[in-house]
Amino acid sequence: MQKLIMGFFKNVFKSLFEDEVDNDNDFVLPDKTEDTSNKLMPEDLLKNKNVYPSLDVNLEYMNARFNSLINSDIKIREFLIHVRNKQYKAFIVYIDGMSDNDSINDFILKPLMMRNNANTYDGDEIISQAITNNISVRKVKKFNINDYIFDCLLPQNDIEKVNSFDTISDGIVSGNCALFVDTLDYAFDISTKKYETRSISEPKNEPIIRGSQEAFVENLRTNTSMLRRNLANENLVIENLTIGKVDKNKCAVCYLKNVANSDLVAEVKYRLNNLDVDYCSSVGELEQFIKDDITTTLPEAVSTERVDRATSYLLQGRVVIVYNGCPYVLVVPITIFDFLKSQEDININHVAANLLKIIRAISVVLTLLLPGFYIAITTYHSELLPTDLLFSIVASRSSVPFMIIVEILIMEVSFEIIREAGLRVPSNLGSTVGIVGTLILGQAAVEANIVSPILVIIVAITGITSFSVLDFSFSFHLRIARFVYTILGATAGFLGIAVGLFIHLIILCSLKSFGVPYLTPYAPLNVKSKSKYLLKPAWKREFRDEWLATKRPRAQGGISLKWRKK
Amino acid sequence: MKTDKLNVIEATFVVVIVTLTHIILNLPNSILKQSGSSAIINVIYISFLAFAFFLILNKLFSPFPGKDIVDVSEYVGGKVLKNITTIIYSVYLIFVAGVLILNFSELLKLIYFHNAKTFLIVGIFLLTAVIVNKIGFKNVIKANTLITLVVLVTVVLIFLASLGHVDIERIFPIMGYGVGNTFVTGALNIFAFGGLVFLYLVRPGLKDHNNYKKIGISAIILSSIYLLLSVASLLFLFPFLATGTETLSVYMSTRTIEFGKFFERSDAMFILVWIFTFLSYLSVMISYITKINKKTWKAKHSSPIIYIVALLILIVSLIPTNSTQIRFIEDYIYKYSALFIIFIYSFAIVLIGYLKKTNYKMKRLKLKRRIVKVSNEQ
Repeated sequence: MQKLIMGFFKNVFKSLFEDEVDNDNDFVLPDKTEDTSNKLMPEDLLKNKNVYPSLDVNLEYMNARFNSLINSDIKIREFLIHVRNKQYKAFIVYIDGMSDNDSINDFILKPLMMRNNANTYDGDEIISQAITNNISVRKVKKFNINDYIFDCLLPQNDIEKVNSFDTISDGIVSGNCALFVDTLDYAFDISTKKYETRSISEPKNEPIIRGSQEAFVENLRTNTSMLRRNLANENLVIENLTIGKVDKNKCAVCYLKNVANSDLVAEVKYRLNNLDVDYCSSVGELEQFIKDDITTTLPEAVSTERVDRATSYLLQGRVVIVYNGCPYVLVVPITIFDFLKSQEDININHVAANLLKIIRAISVVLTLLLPGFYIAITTYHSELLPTDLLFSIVASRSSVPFMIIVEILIMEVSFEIIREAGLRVPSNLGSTVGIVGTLILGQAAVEANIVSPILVIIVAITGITSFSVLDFSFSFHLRIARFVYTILGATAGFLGIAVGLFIHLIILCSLKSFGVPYLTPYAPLNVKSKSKYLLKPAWKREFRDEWLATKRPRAQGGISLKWRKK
Repeated sequence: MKTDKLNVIEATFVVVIVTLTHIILNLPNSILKQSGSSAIINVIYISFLAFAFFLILNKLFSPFPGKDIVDVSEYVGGKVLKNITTIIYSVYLIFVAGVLILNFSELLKLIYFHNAKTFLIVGIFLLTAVIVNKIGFKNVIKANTLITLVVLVTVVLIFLASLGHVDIERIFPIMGYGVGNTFVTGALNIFAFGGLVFLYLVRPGLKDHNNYKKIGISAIILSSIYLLLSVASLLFLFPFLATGTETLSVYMSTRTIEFGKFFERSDAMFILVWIFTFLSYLSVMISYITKINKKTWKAKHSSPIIYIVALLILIVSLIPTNSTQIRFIEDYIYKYSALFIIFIYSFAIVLIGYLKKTNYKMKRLKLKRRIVKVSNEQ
């Protein structure tokens, strides 16, 4: 009892006077670690090696290379192969979850391990036989275990004999199964890829009304197969490349061999092959690695999730880059006008398409300049406005305590926050954030005299017009530039905006996408160019864009509608 | 796609932008002051003169494919003349750019920035021109082409919009201040084609040297049309005696334009376009001054020359202290210096160069013939 009371007081005393320390684990990351990227590490010793004839050595090597003792999904299965009534030691290596277990069981292990007519027969393989004067002459093939396994025991369509451990390793991490056999100084790289992927769905960010509803997925091979399916031509070349030193991700360069400019294709491959990076996460990052001008915020490649859009770009003679793990593909080269194009444009009548294109161009101008113009006109060039409107603007601003630039920046930043929040919250909440942000907060801000009603209209128009810009990256550029123009408009009115626009124009003139000027065909001005911003009728799109310097400049015959000519 | 060289349109617009900037300022007014109501006839007359001048110039330049006035100077008078030509051209272009930009900045100050110092406005223009020149010469030319197109449209727009206020009778008396003033002293108005100075400079940058004639002719035709339009809209809009007192006559004509009830005064929109024009003009000027100096002094980098040129233009723009001085410089100093540089000095150099070249050719031909003759005799 006395102990209990003493213990109680001891605890009370402790809790009163001692600092509470809940966590004894005071782990912190060291400020500095040794940079090992240029040092020879133990794992580097495993590189650039070839398969050994001894199976035990190979097994030890693979265990070390794949850390199979701690890696739970690396499967190494040792077994005996029955060949001509003889047994050979062997093992297979694959990654659980990346390879098809049924395929491995049925078409690798079963034929190799089970006794059947094929592997128990120990006679010679007769190639030809002739009998002359009761003398039988037989031509027999000398037994060779590796040919025998390759030709008779592995019923697989995609199989390679590989000597280098690096190649074998690349195959395994992409879902293949490697088979090592004792006494052979190479392994069999057998394609057994099968992993869970998202099924093909509708495009979420580039919807159109009339047209294909297929979007790319994360799997490279599914994406290339969709391109193949949409573009039925044997000249479609899909070349595989590897990006990254640590994460060796696959990427495919796709082009039409008889259309695309060879120099362009070579340049794309050159840039992709000369990336000294450990990893590349997505096409967005890849685009930043390969763009001509690395300092600009403007995108220099179109990224699309639409298969039909990518296909039509291929048909024009451009190059499409598919990156494994990303449901978007990159298209190069491009001009600024590609960001104002929609796949819908070619599906509808050219007059309607051109109307949409003009509306998009107006939207871009409004997105970029409306707040800047508002501030410039109300501050410096008020004579532009009708007197009544000017009075109403001044009256609505009279109770707002901020300078007009502060007011506009508050609204712009708030709008960006609402937009960002709407994008990042779960999709069910997105609309709620939008409603709360725009309607309730906007109304409340006007009533509290924090902002003027006319400014809410200006910011709302700017926001809505920015949604008509199809490309996500291009829209970002416009959003950044809008802030600059707002500040320039507040600083020097039209003079400031003109200075900004002039520098902006010069920057646009200086940009190139894979050697193609960004403002082609307007800067440098080419009056004879057949690829202007506005679309021609479907039957009159006779030529491919001349700035692509394609091998087939004509896309249609001189008279495309031959049926009209009897 | 190689885009380093200028095509026909780009080179043409380099010449046209100079005429356009002068039109925006007070060039039509100067012509009206000189010729009165015969200004239209005078513009047509000087256009023909400019055309004839260019045809002769083209002929004289023909033995020098891809060479500009600096190269021809070197051929004529060695390095000394080359250096002198570069200096003369640089001084002339810096002087013209400085005065023009000062004049326009004064206009902006008068209309919008009452409390700002003029040199600050000039500074903004120069800073922008320096930045864009750092981005690259070819980009300046590309942007200039787009801007010139827009400006050309606005000049037509001003003309069309002011048609409602036109009084045709103002063309009378048809000979204005007299035949002498229209055709004799009026011939000096050819200085309005000040942009021809670039015809001496653009030659090495052309994609195809054979297009030089095309460029010159299109530039003169375009300049003539726009000069005619601006002079006509001024003449028909205001009594020509009154225009002599206006500072910026084209700006005054934009103030008469009405676009419905919403835009009560649209002149600010024209000012916006004109700011582009001046930015483009200044950038082109700095580009070419940098180009010829870099070539003559064999400079490795353009940037130091760009800074120096911009600084010199700023200094020149600080010299005039009031608008009377600016007017005097524009009406007299600029006029006569343009006439001297374009129509006398440069022309003389090209003419001497042509004669020297043809003489040399003739001598070589004679020598060849003599050699053939001697060898035949032997």
